Amino acid sequence: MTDWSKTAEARDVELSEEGARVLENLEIALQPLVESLQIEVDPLNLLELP
Amino acid sequence: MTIFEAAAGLRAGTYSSVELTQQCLAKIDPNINAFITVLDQPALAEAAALDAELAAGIDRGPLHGIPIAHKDLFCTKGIRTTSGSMIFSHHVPDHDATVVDRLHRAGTVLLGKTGMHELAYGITSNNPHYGAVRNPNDLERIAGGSSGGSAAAVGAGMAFAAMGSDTGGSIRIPASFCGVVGLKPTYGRVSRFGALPLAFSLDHIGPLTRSVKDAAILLGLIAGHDPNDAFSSRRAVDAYLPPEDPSLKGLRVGFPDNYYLHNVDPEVADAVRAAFYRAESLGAQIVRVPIPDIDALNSVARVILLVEAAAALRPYHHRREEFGVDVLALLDQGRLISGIDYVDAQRLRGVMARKFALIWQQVDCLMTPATPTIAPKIGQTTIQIGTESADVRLATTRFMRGINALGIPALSIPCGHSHGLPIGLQILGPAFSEAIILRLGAALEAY
Repeated sequence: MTDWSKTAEARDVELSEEGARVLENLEIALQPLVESLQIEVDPLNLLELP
Repeated sequence: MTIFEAAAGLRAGTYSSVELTQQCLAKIDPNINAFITVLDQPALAEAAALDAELAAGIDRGPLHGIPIAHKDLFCTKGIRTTSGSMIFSHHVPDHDATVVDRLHRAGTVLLGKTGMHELAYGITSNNPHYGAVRNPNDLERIAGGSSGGSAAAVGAGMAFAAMGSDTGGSIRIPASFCGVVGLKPTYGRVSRFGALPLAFSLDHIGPLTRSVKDAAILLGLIAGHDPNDAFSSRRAVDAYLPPEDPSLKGLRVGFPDNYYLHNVDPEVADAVRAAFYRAESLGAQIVRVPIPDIDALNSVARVILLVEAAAALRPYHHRREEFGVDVLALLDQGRLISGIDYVDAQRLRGVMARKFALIWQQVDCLMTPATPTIAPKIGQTTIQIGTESADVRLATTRFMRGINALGIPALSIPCGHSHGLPIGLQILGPAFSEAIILRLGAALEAY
């Protein structure tokens, strides 16, 4: 898991304890889902070419 | 009085646009603090000109002479547009947002610009720069946000309608808390050109009104392709006005098997169940449907929001002292999330959208509570739901945030009261099904 306080310090960004908890909780929530992702071609389809 | 009724009265000569405008202006209560800018004299002049047009036989349609307001993040030519922030406190645009332009051409009278959560980045509208917007039903409570001023203005009769924006519930939350109708259309249905962006892939524009029919009238005028918004849909605009007959025969309405009726105030759950009984008695078929993992979808939407908002506001990061504490904290959190995490959140969004879309194979629309509780008090940070205590921001957005990641249309309508305060019902449907959810909303409203 990411050490968000250290990341913030390294990037010179202010982060409160609550903020670090928010990011930690999001990481915990999404990690198992991210691990289940399959490789897709252009999953974002951002250009939507005709 | 609704827009529909006012429009009939204007044409019958029962009252003039100037009189309607005067009535709205007289109701503007500084204690509610719904407006950042009131345009009283320009509005009266505009109304007089529109009265003269109508007298001369020039009729611009159902919004001719109707006084409305715009959330203060929509650019208005020559009129200060603050986005509820100190950063933009002196911003006077040289153009109108597309929705402002379209509604102006439709003959609306602009009463002013409504208060909001700073930069649309929050759900309370407790603004550190312009003061808290207060709930017209109880001044000690929040109006909700971020379009709090728009909902409060409509709820208190200060405007017939007001435009809002919704990135994670910002139209529907204040609509629910203030007891008005709020519509978040499908992503791309309404142009966002000229509205301050918060999160480009989550932002939606829509109306707050006194009735579902009024929301349909407004949507019909603001929907449609706009070359100035790259994500604006080219799909033809539907007929949104609900039929007079409230019958719901043939409509399949989804009853959520899980999630949406858990961890909600018991009176809210009862009011939502009662709405299902009403829909059934009007002929709808109620179908139980399993709901995908909404907590995970909400987490995905939060990652996307944090990053996109930090990117959108990047030019202003160095002006730290000009941000409110809560918004600054969110911007800092967004700056720390990696590019990999953002892309993965977008990939998960696609996976979840496909899972959620399975619901539409079984039903035409889905009903849920809009918010799990009534409006919290101003300054309240936790909320009691049954025996559990929850963070106000997380609890309030729980049924809405993920919907923005799906881009599907969502309507919030009043569906009862608890302790004298409004309860909101949310109606969801597949992309571009606005006509369906408006039909259901109108039928329930008329019941």
